[in-house]
Amino acid sequence: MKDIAYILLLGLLVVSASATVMVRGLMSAIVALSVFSIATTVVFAFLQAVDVAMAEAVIGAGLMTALYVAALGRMASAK
Amino acid sequence: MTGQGHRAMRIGLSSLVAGFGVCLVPGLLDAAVRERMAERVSAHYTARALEETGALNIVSSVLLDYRGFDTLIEATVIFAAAAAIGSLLANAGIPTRRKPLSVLVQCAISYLGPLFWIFPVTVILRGHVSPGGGFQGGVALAVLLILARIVYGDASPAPGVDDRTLEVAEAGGAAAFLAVGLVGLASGTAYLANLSAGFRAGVPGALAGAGFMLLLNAAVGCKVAASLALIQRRLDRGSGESI
Repeated sequence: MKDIAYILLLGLLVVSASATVMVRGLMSAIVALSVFSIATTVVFAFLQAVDVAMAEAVIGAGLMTALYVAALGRMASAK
Repeated sequence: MTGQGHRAMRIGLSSLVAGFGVCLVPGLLDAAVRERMAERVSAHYTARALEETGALNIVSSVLLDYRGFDTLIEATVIFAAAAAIGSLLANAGIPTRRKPLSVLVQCAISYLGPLFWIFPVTVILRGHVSPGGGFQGGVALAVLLILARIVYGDASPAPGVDDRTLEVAEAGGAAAFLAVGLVGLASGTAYLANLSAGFRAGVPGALAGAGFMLLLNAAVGCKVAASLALIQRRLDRGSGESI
């Protein structure tokens, strides 16, 4: 049961990473990337690396999303 | 570039990345490699970290004590990034104004706001006891500042964390880290020496334990939070409107 959940998680990693590259529109790519980060967080927690999971959660899902959106807003207003 | 060439390049790059991933799999599955790595270093840390550093959280003992110097350089990298972005984007564009919030939202935020500070501050100050530490807590704090910025714009009513305060916090955190390191030199051991420099280990699990780790976590948290919040403010300042 645990193994199946783990494999599903790893599958979600591949899917969200591919979606980040393939999807149309930068905002959608940012959202896909933050889904990837959250999945990575759960993987790290699965592997009992709680410190790394916490870092990934705040940096990957929180900070990077905010900075990408800010950069995107700047690009949009510069046009 | 033509659509055809673009497509070909995309497929080529994708297969390159996929091939690289496939090459990594045997290494990850190789149990012998994992065992060899586990034997050498982690056995020492799990067995001796508490006695050598006084920290219950082994990850923090590695980050701040065994390799405190690397952490200092890591913090310098963030400092350099914030400085570079600041010099490129400083004062470009106009101050940001947002639509004023409704009374209901303002009341809710004024009651809930202080609660949001508990998590990052706990993560920073208890870094040597439970999972977390200066980096994780600092980034969580930065996200909090960034969210407040996105909601309020320049007209932040409550906490009043202006750019100047953040600059002082950033420089102060870095200076505190360097100063704590100097204690080791003054006591005749090495730079960033912890227990051997006379810091007390204390009771395992106590807030004021593990030598200088509480001080270093607070310094790193301050610095990281201020740097990252400043980076977002420089980006935000240029756009001049809500996202």
